[in-house]
Amino acid sequence: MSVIRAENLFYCYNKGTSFERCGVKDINLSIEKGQIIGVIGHTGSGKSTLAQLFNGLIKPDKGKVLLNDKNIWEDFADIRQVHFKVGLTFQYPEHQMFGETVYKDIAFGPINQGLSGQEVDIRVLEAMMFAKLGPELLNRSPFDLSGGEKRRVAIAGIIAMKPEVLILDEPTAGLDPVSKEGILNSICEYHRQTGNVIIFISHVMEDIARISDKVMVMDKGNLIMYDAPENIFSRREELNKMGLEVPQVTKIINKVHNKLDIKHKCVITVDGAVEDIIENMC
Amino acid sequence: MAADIVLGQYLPGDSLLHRMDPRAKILLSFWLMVIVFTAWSYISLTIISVFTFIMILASSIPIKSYIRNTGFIFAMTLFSSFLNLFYGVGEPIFEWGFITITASGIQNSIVVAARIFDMMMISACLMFTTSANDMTHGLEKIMSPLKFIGVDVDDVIMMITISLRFIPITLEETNKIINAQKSRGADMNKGGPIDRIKSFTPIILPLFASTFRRAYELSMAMECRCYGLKGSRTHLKNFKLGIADLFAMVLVGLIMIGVIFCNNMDIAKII
Ligand SMILES: Nc1ncnc2c1ncn2[C@@H]1O[C@H](COP(=O)(O)OP(=O)(O)OP(=O)(O)O)[C@@H](O)[C@H]1O
Ligand SMILES: [Mg+2]
Repeated sequence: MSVIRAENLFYCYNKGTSFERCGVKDINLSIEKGQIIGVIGHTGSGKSTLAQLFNGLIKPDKGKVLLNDKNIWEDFADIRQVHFKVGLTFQYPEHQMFGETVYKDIAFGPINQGLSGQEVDIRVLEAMMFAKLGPELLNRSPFDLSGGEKRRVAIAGIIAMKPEVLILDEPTAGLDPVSKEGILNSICEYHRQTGNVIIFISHVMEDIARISDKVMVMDKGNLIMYDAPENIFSRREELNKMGLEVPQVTKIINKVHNKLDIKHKCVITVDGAVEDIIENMC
Repeated sequence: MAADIVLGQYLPGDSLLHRMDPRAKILLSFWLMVIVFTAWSYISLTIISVFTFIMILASSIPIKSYIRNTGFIFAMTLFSSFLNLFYGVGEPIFEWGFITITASGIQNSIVVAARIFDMMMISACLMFTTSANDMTHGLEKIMSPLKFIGVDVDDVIMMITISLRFIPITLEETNKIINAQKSRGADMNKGGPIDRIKSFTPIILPLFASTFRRAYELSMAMECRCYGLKGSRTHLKNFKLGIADLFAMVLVGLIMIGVIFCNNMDIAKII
């Protein structure tokens, strides 16, 4: 059974003016239980728009978003429940913050879900653990934190709602390597413990290759490919045409394969590359 | 929501009005509004309204955009002119209970509606066809004589530019904060009016915080580029009055004469 399904999804901004731009066009896809989905695409290809459609923040012009086989817009009053079930961290989650303290900010979602005080406390502490935020931050103002810490507070604010689907819009953009690694680990950890669907938007092909079960490739609002990462990254020319790249290791291994005239096999992670080298070249 | 609010938006194009000298456009628009306010008789109003309509056509911007941008204010105008209907003096033409409608009441309401409508269209026309850059540059040129009486025109213009620039930024920011809260289950449409106003406090506060932060960052950036050191600045583009501008001036002049001349004419008398 699919957790999220999109059928003929269309969405345009500024409808009916000369500024009309279509964010996504005719998207059809289905995401199965327990998967991590990576989303890549050139700037302006509609990734964030798709994320907001899944989350129910914007209403499709045409087509349907089905969550557990139920159209999320069937009943307008239910859309709040959809926000809880499909948690979304925005592209610059710094903007997502509005609480006076880190605690209040993370607790905002759970409180709106109607949980009791004690449950809220537990949720907040759990979420902070996932996001690797020390308890000493609880009473700090979120605006005084560093960029990486803000990012993690924003993610914790979503995780605290225990969403069935977690959408992360470029969660690691502009972070140092250690913070980035920390966030990726938190995501994987959350996935291991809950088994929930994660949709991960990123411009870093290496990260996408490393954690996703399936990859979506968007271009100009269209869904061009939706497949396992090995299959996606073996189509280098097509990706290049859309302004995308394959991971560095893939390029290296491809070149080596060509030089040594070995039968081509797509390698996308560092570990995969190590195995491949030992197998073929030693 | 807030994203649907289009404020003084420039709609790029290549019409006669787009190509006019911004200085001429600003001054003539201002002058036209003055004329609108002196128009009183039906004939004068017709002249100026027809001219406004021609301007709208000449801007080659779809009438739809005009209606969308002025719809709300226009509805208010109609309402106020409807009220005007009952406050005339003189012989009543129609009487029912305490409601009396007089000829001057009718004229009043038509005049008010037409004036405000024309003014809105003229200013919309100016906004649509002039980019923010041209607008401020034009204003700067127009205000430059004030330098001689000690007004710091550069600073005033910089203030106008920045405030204009901050309007869309603030709207965008508001939208982002609203979205962030909605996606975490904030219910903006719950309860009575008091509850709704209350649910806006958590939006206003971070909005102020981020606007101040932005203003602070901007002032830092300006200082880094030595803003405040006085020197004569030049512009990339320099304006030159063209034939179209002269033509427009003559036209507006004629309209003015027409309006003043016809102000004392009564349709009834001509017919
Ligand atoms: N608020 C908005 N108003 C108008 N147009 C918008 C808005 N947001 C996005 N768009 C347009 O919709 C299209 C898709 O934008 P979207 O933000 O989904 O792209 P993206 O894939 O997330 O890009 P990026 O990688 O830069 O985040 C773009 O062409 C963009 O110009
Ligand atoms: Mg985006």
